[in-house]
Amino acid sequence: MIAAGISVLASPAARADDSTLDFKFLHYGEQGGRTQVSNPEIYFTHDFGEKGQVGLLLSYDSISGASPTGEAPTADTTTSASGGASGSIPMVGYQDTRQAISASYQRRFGSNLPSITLSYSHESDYLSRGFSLVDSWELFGGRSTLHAGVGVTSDRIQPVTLADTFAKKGISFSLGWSQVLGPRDLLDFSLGLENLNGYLTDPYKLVTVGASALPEARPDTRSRKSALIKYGHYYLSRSAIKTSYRYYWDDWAIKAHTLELEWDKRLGRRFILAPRLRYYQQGAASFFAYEFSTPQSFMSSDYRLSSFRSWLAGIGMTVEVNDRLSFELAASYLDQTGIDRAKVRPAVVPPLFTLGGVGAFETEEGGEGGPHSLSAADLKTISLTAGFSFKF
Amino acid sequence: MDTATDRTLYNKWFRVMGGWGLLRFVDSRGVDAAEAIALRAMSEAERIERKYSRFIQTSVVSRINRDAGRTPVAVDEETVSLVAHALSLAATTRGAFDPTVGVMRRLWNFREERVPEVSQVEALRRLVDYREVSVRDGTVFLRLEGMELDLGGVGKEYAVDRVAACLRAEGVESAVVNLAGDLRTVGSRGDGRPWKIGVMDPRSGNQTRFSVRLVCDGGVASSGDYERCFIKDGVRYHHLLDARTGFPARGLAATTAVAATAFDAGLAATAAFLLGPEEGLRHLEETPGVQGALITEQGDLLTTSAMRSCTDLPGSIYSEYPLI
Repeated sequence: MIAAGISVLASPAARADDSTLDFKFLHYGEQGGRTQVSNPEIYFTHDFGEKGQVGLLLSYDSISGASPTGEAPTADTTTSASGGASGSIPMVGYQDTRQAISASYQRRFGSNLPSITLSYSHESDYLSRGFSLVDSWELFGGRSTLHAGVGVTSDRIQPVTLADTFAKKGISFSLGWSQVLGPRDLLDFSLGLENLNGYLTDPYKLVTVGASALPEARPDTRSRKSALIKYGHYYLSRSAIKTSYRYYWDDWAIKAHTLELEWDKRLGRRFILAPRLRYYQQGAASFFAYEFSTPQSFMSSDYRLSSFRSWLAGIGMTVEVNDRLSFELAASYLDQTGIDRAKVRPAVVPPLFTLGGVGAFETEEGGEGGPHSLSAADLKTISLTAGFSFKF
Repeated sequence: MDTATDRTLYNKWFRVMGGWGLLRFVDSRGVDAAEAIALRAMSEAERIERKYSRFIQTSVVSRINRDAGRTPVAVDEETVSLVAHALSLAATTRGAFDPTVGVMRRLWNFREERVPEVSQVEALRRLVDYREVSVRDGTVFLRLEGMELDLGGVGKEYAVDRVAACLRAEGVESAVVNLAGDLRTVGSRGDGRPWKIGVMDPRSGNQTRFSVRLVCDGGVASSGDYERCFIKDGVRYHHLLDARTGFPARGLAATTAVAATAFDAGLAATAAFLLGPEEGLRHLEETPGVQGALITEQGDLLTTSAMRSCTDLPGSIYSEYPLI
């Protein structure tokens, strides 16, 4: 009842011996010739009634484009119509495909709904296997739900640029509580913990150290923690508003805030419109910098570990043709800005010179590095999704 | 003690001409001396800005504009030379460039994203005519009341060359001067490698499209439709007005020219932009001592025959050996 009201977009629960086939095609594109991903995905579920429900997900990603190498931007200076920015982020082109499959089974035992998932994915240089177990336990006549889960992953990385093979393992735990607050309100709170160990470095990222480019180096353990609070309210006008806030922190010193707002509105009998807005901000890892003067034990210039903020605006539209068939279209736009900025340096520091004292002489007016700074995190992306869901 | 190891690369950023200036030079006389050199070079840029800015009431240009249609204004040789060069560029481009087009700013407002009516532009166009600028006996005179002279199209590049000359006079042998996007190199880079000058891509925000490589003194200047512009109803309107129509020049998104001086490069880049892809490329090819590249509105790159040799575009040695 209440849950059904809040999740107006969710497909009605499959009945016994019902099957559902969902197909989705996602295109994700970063402006400026950076990463482009095309991702068709098929999700099949079959409900055996009391015997449970099985799900099978097949996914294929075609990835191409260019990605920042991590090196500092180079050029002595830049000519332009105005003299705005100067330099460019060194990029390297890449291409890959990823095939993924996951199978799940869930079955109700009284007020418990445990589910088990096995997953496998493969890229040319990366293989991942995962297993997870999650249980939802309804309490107080369904007004509360305790959900808890555990997952393990075992990955193998074989960088195309290196002869070695590396391993990465992860174990994750989640614990949460959903509470029905009234006829139209639902609150959910959950905590997550993931411990990773092994090869956590990106083998294709470089860092600029003095005049050289060296491979980046990250710690071989990472502990990631998150707390998420979600609140949903269903209006009698057949719309629902969902808000969530997530705080993330890890022992690499990254802290992140995510604030999201989504509104689902049913229009007539067949249409559901769902605009959403998301703000994200993260701080940098303790070993992140765009340039290093001397080699460090841990160092990375990967913009994903830098400090940046982003806005995402999106809209989704679902058309329910009949009880069995629905179509979905969605689009989102993300505008991301690096807070950590890199200053453009000479391509190679001439060996005959020492660099003028940065504090003593090199002056730059106008906050955040002025217009002469760049960030590989500066990014605009567009995502487009089209798909259908068919019950039979 | 002056030894090779004392040679230091200094960077000095400063505000100038509505944009940013950069002095990057090598010197071995210590930080205090470098500061003094930079100050003198910067004051030369400021002197030229004060003298020729149309935004400064006491500038020579403002005086000439105030006396338009009334009386010739006595000016010095430097001003005569600058105005003469601007008029010469106007003649070369058959009026596409015109140092009196600035009057159109009364109609074009790029901040408010306002597109003027054709009739308004037509009415004002009578005041846009470089042939009504008289340079005679040490005076400059705008014959029509209401005309406005704007040396923005040539003054910035002139300042770049003057600042570079100033560094030379101070004994600097290795430097690059960049004033709001137009630049001049002084001497060699000093480490056996050429200067590397990124050329902005007009459509990718802050990425460069390719690099110009200069091994000694040279000037590089760019024009583009990506600054002081707006897009309305799918049409991009920018500040580089074709003086013959009073509307933005069409066909190109950016031009870059390389010449012996920033001044020559600036004239060539501006002319090529206003003339459009075909005529602009021909203009660059036919101008002695000038090389250049054009990026069309569709993103295609057109270059003069020898441009590739001084860039890292495919076909040049620098594309084969990018670390040079």
